[in-house]
Amino acid sequence: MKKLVGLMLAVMMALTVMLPIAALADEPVTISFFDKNSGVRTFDDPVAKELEKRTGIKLDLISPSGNPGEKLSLMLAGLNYPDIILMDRGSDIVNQYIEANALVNLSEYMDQMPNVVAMYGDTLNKTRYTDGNNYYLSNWYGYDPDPVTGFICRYDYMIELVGQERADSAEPFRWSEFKALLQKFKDTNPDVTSPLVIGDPGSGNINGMFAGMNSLYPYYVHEGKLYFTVRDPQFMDAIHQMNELYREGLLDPEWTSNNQELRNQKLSNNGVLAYGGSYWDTWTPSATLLAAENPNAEYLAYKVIPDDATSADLPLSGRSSLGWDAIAITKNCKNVEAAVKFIDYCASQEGQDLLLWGIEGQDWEFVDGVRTPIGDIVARYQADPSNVVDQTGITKWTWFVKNDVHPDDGTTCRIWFNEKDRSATFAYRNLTNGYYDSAEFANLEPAGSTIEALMYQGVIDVFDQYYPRMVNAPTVEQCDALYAEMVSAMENAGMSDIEAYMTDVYFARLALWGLEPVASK
Amino acid sequence: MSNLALGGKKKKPLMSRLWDQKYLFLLMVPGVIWVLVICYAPMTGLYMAFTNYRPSQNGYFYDLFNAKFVGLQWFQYFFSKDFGMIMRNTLATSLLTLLFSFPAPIILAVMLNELKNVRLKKFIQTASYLPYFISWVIAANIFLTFLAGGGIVNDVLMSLGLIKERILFFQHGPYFWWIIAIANTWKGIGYNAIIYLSAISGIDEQLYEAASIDGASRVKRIWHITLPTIRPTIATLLILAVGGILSTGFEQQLLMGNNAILNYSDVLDTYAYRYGLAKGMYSYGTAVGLFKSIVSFILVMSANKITAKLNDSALF
Repeated sequence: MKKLVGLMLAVMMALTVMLPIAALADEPVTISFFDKNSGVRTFDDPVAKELEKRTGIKLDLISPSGNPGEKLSLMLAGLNYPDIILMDRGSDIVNQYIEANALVNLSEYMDQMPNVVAMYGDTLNKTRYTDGNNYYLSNWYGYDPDPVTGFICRYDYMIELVGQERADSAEPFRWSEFKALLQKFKDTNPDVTSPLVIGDPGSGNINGMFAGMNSLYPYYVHEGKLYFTVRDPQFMDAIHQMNELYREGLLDPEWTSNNQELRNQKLSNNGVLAYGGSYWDTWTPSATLLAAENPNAEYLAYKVIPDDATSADLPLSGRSSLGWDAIAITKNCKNVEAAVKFIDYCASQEGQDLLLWGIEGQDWEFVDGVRTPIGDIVARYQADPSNVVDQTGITKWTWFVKNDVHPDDGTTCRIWFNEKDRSATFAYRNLTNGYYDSAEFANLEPAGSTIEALMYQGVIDVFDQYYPRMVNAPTVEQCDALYAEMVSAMENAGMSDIEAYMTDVYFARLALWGLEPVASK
Repeated sequence: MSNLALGGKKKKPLMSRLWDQKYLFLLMVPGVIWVLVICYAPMTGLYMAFTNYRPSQNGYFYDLFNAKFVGLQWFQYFFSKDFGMIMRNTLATSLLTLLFSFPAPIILAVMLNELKNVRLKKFIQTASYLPYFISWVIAANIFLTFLAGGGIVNDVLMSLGLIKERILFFQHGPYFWWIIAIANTWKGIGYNAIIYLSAISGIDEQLYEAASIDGASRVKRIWHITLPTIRPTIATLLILAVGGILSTGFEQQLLMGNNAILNYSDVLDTYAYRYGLAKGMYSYGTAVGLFKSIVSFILVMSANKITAKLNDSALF
């Protein structure tokens, strides 16, 4: 009897030990993912669930509370980064992670990522680190067919100012013509203080619209050397244009404090004719205005070119074919094979269709070999974009996105742009071909904890302080005096040394890629 | 004789006395561990200020103690570049804050003490205490909205005919120092007033009654009884305020500042944050932070000494 009881106890103990192991074996692999763009979104929508089902991988999404750049720096310092991180490709944080040996060398896993190899193609060569290896994959890569920046004007005001025909015309406005419109708008509305609103100054560059109109690139390349843009002979033309608008009361006097909320608040009120920036920035204010005003109270994209421009196809802004973000697997990842599998699926055409078009048969279907949205999903999106994205999960998770149309049926990579609303129609018609590939200028700055990196930041700090002061100067003479002061201060901060450093990096990169400078003057 | 305690008994040896109090020492253990782990252990990181620290997979301590030693390189860079501007901004903001926020709670506490209407007193106390609980994110937005070109402050000034053109408060650097000083005072006045009120509540009522009988007016009672009695509290808070003179704020500068006035809004803490965390230059950020700590320590010690000499009372 004692033996029997002992045996039963032994069996029960063994089962107790074995059961959790058996349960674990059935549990899907969990991968933690930090997405700097995810905000407060939760990974629980239909697309997220379908993605987990198809890959067999459960995703633990880590949202960036606060400043994502700071969070990434802190995670690096504490070595507590998750399995996969999505970071800003344009900043030096990517190089910091690579130099800290914190990222998995993806080149060693390319044979397990056939879809990545097929989809990314030559982009993989361009995103190699100096040791020749790939440590991250670009997001929003490839030459982008989508429009970006322009002067986004209130359509109802434009009809009043230039008439219906001109407001609907695809012909670009000349700068002097556009400036006269701002003036006319102000004259007819004396209480208006901000006919033109632009975003806050940001860091390191002047407003993209004014840079583009004066053919300013991120850096000035001249006779085999790379310089900061302030040395470009046309730099002050752009500053003078902005300064003139400011002095004449045509530019928002508080543009330097325009964070997203303040900017949207201003654009949602009557009394703003135009916004200078990306056409999607005005979607929220347009939705507010359309709900409360007449059906033409909407911001639509117009192209404004310099008075002496000979072609309307002038590139007005830069956009990198190497993408906005970098996605990498970190050395903290315990199951690299699973992470690689997840990435390869997301990057595949099937994965991209799931992320950007939704679930086949539910959100879209093939009709005569062409991807076609089902029902009124696009119409619902156009009426209430953010809620529909949240509910359906379509384009909520924009990972490994390739800027291209589908090679088999020519449809856009995102379902929403297959049927364009008025805002997108204007943008695609008026702003396409308005940019150049700025990939060669990205990540030239010295990274990490070095004296060069400090000097670079010092130079940028000087620029950031003087740029708004030059624009807001009460006279042209004071504006010019501030420019001289700024260049001198930038020199003191080590501008020439940094330019020499970046010239070497830049031309070594061009040699590696086999390219000529995009904007040598 | 020296070995005899007051009662005439022989004093026990040190070890024996320690053993007798072993349970009291045991009670101290968690506190001591807390101080060592939370306060002293992280100080090893200060070594970072003298190295070129770069995090890697080898772990924090390995990276820290194997980083290249660079001596005072980061300090030299800081002193040769931005030190002047950063210190000017830090001190200007701090001194202006001290100018307003140090006397303001004393005045408020004394005035509240003199109020006879209890409900009004409680209302003012609660209203003045409330901003302390508002996060800087909300407070900054309140200030940004009120002081905007089209904000209520400009509206009032315009309607009163005090200004002809709207003032762009966040476009002029020196204004920013004043805004921060006023914002700091607004947030802290109620909280500090409570400390003074508690000190005032300990004053013997008989002193006031005696002074009234002697014909002292209300102002004289405040001047000769209230203020001298709360002088140790004032001294303590002054020492703390002087010690924190380089900690002039962080969130408020970050949230209300903009690039147009960066050369007025950037203070030691925001500077160390921008370089140390946002840019990942840990060693440089640590060097700036260490400089601030050393100066703050010297200031606290000096203020303590001076207060001890002037008042016969000091914090330590």
